[in-house]
Amino acid sequence: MDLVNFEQVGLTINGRKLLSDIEFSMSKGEHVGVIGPSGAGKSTFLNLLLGFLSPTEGRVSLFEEDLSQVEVASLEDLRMNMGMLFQTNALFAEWSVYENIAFPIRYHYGLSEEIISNMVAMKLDSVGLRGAEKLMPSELSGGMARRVSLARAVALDPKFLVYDEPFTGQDPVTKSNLKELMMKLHRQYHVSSLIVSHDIQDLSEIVDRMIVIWSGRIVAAGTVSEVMNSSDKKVQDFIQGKLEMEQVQEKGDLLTDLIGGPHV
Amino acid sequence: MSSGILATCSRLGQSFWFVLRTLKAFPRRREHVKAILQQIYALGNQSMLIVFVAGCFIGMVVTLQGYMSLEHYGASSEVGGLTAYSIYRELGPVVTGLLFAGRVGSLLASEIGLMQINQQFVCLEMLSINASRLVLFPRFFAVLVSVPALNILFCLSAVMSSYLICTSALGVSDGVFWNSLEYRSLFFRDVMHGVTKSFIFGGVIAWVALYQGMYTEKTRLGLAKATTAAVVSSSLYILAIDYIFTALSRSFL
Repeated sequence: MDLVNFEQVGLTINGRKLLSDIEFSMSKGEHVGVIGPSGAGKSTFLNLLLGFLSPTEGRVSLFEEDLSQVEVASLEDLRMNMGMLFQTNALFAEWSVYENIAFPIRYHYGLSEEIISNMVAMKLDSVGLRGAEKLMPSELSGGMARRVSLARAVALDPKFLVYDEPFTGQDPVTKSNLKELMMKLHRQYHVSSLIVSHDIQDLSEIVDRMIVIWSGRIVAAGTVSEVMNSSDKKVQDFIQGKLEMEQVQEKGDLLTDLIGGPHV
Repeated sequence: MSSGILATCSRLGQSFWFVLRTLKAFPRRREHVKAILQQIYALGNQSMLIVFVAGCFIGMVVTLQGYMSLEHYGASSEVGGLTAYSIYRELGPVVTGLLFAGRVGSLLASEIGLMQINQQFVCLEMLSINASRLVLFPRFFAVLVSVPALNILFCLSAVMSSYLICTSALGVSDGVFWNSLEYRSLFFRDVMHGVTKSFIFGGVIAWVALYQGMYTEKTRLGLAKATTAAVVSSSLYILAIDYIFTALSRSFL
């Protein structure tokens, strides 16, 4: 079963071609990395996959449902099977750690507070933060906040986890712990995952395969070693950090504006 | 020039589309109804004191000014009716609207803008929670019902303060005050006129504040601009709509 399927997907906004000829699919149980320099089209790819943008060409399917055909209610049902870790963590600052994790469980399952409390404790335990229930997001370190965000991402026991730049802004020790935690969660919850990052070294340790997006196109795809040994000059430049500024398209601002904007 | 007009039209269309989608997001679950009640409390109840105090002062000022003018023509016994008439029809809805735009408009724009910047709307959507139903509609509805209710509170406090000033300081008797008020102002013509206006003002405040917050530039300065724009724009819209409404009611009534 294909979890995600992009068929000849293209996206043009205000006459600017942001993505073109994207062919991609991933199956249940896979862990796939999406890498590329800033402004390459990774966020656009993610927005299309999550249903926040519609392609102007081709078709995007999620859990074998064509996203251009699904109603809002069906999209909400599809997202029940997904969890997401945000680059900004997106924790609700006025709520405690407990409330941040309990909220989606309470909203969707309407369980008794005792059961919710046990579930929250279990989720926090799985990210190594048992006992942090009463802390407020402002009292958490960057690494702890990311782990709380991860605990919330798995709160509804998703089948598919999406990570948006999970390693950004983390120190090497936290990063290493986070990678271990991600792999542990993948095993524990039997989830598939898609990780968007610009850090190929970190990504290579946790994914089965990866795609490289460059100027809105997939320029390399395959297992980690296949991508690492790609003969494509752009890929090699990116791996070795030789990217020249003029090679990066200035699309970042536009895409940042789109996510979370018009769809709500 | 033409690109500016195009951008303005585009924003106008975007804001109409936004308010339509917000109004379509009717509550479907207990949590949505709870969110509406919480917002009515946070936005409406929490504004009661400021509206009540403002109503008292404005009632007293209008009474004193009116008394001085009417005394000149030997018609000081009409002061109660004149005060009530101007409060019910104009000052009540307009001042309540402006106070509410200042207090709640800025609050809503900054709250929604900050949620947008921190990706909390996307987060809610990813948790399979309809953000329009849980966040936007409850706020819109709460503002819509709070402004008319606060307008009534404003009118009551203004009339009561006018009564106190008239009977205690200006030597107008109880009977003269209430008789003048009863004679001068009519429930459907004046009170409902003001309530209808304040309902429209509520819609405008909610629309402008939520839209500014939702489509804020995702920078610190962008959020500050959105907050300011929410207050300034909704205040100007209130004054403009007030004029149009008054001119129309003069033509039709």
